[in-house]
Order: sequence, then C-alpha cells, then structure tokens
Amino acid sequence: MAPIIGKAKAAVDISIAYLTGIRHLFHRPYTLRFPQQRYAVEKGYRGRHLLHLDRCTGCGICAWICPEKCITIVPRGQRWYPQYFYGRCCFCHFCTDYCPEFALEETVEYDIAEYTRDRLVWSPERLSKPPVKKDDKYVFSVDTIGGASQVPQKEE
Amino acid sequence: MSAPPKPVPLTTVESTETSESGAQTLTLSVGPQHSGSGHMRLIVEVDGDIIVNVAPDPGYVHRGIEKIIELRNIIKSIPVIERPSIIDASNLNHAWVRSIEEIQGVEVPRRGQYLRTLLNEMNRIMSHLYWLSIYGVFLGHTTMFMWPLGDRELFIDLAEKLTGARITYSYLVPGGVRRDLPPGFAEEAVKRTEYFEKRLKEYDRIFFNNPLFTSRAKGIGVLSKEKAIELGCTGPTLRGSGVDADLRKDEPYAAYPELDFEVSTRPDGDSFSRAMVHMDEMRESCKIIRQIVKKIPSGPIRRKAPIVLPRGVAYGRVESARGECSFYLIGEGGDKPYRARYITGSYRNMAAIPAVLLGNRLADMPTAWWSIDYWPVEADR
Repeated sequence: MAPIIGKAKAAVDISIAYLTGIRHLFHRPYTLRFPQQRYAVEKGYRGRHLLHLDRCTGCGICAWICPEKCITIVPRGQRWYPQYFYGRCCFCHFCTDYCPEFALEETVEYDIAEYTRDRLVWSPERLSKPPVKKDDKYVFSVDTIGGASQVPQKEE
Repeated sequence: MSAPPKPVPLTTVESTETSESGAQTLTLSVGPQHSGSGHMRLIVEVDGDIIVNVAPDPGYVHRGIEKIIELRNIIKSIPVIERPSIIDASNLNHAWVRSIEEIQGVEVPRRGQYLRTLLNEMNRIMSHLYWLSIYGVFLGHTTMFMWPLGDRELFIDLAEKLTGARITYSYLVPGGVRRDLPPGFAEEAVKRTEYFEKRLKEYDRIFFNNPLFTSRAKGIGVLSKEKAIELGCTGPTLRGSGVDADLRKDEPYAAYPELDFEVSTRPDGDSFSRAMVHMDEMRESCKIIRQIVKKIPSGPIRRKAPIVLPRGVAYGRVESARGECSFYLIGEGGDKPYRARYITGSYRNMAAIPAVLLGNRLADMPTAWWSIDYWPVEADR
C-alpha cells in the first residue's frame, strides 16, 4: 500500500511543480532590451566621476587613496588636475569621499565602454562635462499582483 | 575512523589501474574548466560508477590577496578583500573592518552597526540565491537557474539604493559605514522581503518538494555530525549536519544581539538538509531585514577612525554566507598591516568535499558536491 501512496504523492508534487512553472509563462519579464530600453539609476549611484575644475586644487589625495592607481595628476597651465583611466577604475569612489574640496562627484552615467583603450583615458576637461541626458526610464518595481519586473518610470 | 584515502597523482587526466585484488578503477579529472566544478579540479577515482577516492585540486584562481594587503593601506585594501567573493562582498568586508577596529579601539555608532547588519543580511540572501541557481542548473532544472538569478535583482537593486553600487559596495569602512539610508528605503525593503518570501514558497513547490530533486538529494552525500566537527566545517555545511553553531548567536557582533532570529539546523547531514538550511537562512534574513528597518536608531553612522594601524594583534571574525570568515591581523604602527591572514568559509569547508563524495555514485556528484556551497575563488583567495 505504501508504495502506491508514495507514487501518488510524487505525482501530485510533480503536477504542482509544473503548474507553478506554467503560471509564470504570463509573468512580465525581468530583463531589459539594452540599449533600446535603458535602466534608470537613482541619484547617488556610483557611476563615472564629475570633476569641478573651479574647486579642484590638484592636491592629489584622490590619486593617493585610489586602490587601483587609475588617477594621474596632470598639469593644465598653472594648475594640476586628476586624469582618470577607466580601464582600471573599480568605481569604489573613495576619491570622491576623500576629496577635501568636494571637487569630485558621482554621476549616474554608467555606460562608458569604448572601442579603444585610449578613449578610456578621461582628461580633466572631459571629466568636467556633466553627463549627457539619455533616455533612461526603466526602473525595477515590485507589486504584489504583477510581481517583480522592470517597468517604465512614472512621469512626474 | 577509516583509513585516509590514498593520494591520487595530480597530473592524471584519465587512467585505469588494477589493484592487487584484480578490481579495475578509472581516474577521472573533473575540471578545472568543467561546468560542474567551477574554477577547480576534482580528481575522482571510480570503481564502476562508485566513487572510491577524491582529491580536490584547488589553486587555479589564487591571487595572493594576503600579500596584496600587506602592500596597501587599510582603506585601499577594502575593494581587494571583497573580490574573492563579490556575491558576498559585505560579509568579507565586515571581518576586515572588525579586526581593524579591534586594534584601533574604535567603537562604531549603533546606527552604523545596524546598517552594516542590514547589508550583511542582504548579501547573505544574494549569495544563497546565487548558490541556489547553480544548484538548479547542476541538477538540470533550468527554471531553478533563472528564478533565483532574477530574484537576486530585488536585493541588488535595494543595495544599489543604499550604497550606490550593485555588487562590490566597499560600504563598510573602519569606524562605521559610508552612507546613510536613502529616503523611502524602509517601505521598499519591507515590500520586497514580503514579496520574496512568497517567491520562496514557489521555490519549495517547484524544486524542494519536487520528487525530481528530493529523490536525488535525500540520503546523498551524508556528512555525520561527528565527521563535520572533526573536519572543521562551518556555516550551512555544519548546520546541515545538525550542529547548532552560528557566530551571529555564539559571538554576537554588530546589531545581532538586539535582533530576534533563529539558527536553522537539520539533523540528517545529507544534501537535502544542507539545501534546506540555505532556504531557512534566507527566510530568517528577510525577518532580520524587516526588524532592522523598523528598529534602526537615529544618530551618527560613522565615527572618525585613523588611517593608521597601531602596533597590535587582532582576530576579527564574522559569519559570512558560506561560514566563518576571519582575519588575523598584525599591525606595526604604519598605515599597512605587517601581516593579514585571511580565511574564508569555503576554505574551511574544502575538507568536506571528499567526505561527502566517497561511496556515492558519479551521477550523484553534482548534488553532493554543490550542496557544500564551495566557492573556489573564495577558497583560493
């Protein structure tokens, strides 16, 4: 008798497993079609750096604290500024934390991949430009009925 | 006490040999590029399809992190220390800052302690989910591969709001943490953990109650309580063998003494028990996260700590997702440590790999092996 009960229970459990999976055929997807659909990160995200040229004194504390040695201090006329090599940067943003003059800032720009190695070297002038506004509008949202998925951000 | 297994030549790729009694065995090399072993090699000797000898061959992803730490100051070391297990970054980071604070004598503000605990528990869930997804695909269950990896996004996104980074946070620094809670975080955390607990019930229905899994996991890879203690196992591997050992309870640190949670143990010591310990821990972590966002005190998040490591010795340890992670740190007055010994949970659990595999069939190897939650990068450091 016992084997029959065991087999029946196994059949029920397998059916439940299949039904659980089938229910999710109609679930909204978790993934985005990057770069057509772009994920919007919030302010405070540790993307590439923004350098305020007027505040920077060229003291070099950012280069000292950088764990990956990706910052070089380069001369520009009478002054010195940091230059970043993003091929090495690990985006820990200790440089931003340690800057005594608040000359460095995090930006929400996260896609800075380039085709050549040279383009990954960001000069002080390039770092000082604010990020270009892109069509980032998808956010990760959880609601109790539809579940978790990436949805377009609500217009404010 | 059985006789120790005879050594297997490390150069072997595939060979047969005949013992004195006339039985023929075959030596197989699983890894290091095998999808079923990760970045390591298991040299398995089989008689028919029964495993008679196993020799783990780690070291393919050794990076010399202990030496790198000696050459950098204590802040610069933080991103390096996270690298062995980026899916469990903040727990490893916590062991490091604990050992530094012990030498420096810095006390962390209570709000900072709560924020550390919050990120640690989120990391524990993320790490267990990663483990679960690999476990699913090892057993040929593709849905169980996709779902946990998708649900990790719940907590990755939450951690991104808190720390600014998705995986490698560098959030814990000596003296406290780097950022305060963003507005609206508490409601979002409660909503997501409640949703995630519903998802865990679905995991049970599709995988853990599924006979396709239970018939392959129950009674496979048994590690007895005595053997687990003898081998020095830790973390879910030890608790899956029925030993109630968790640093969060035994030696409470950060905000754990003020939080209410259970340590999950299972008595059987087989692959199923170890898997269920992971599931129970994710449920407990959800409870802890909700308690933290409710009880978090106000006040400063960080106290000023010098960048200098005074002369002294410290041992800082935490319960990471894969077991006890510890630092033995010697300071000599400069900004760099004289020596830092770094031991992780996977390294301690490596001894259990032969113990759970011996006597099983080769087809049961993925179930038994991955239930230990051995992460080669973390073990090699």
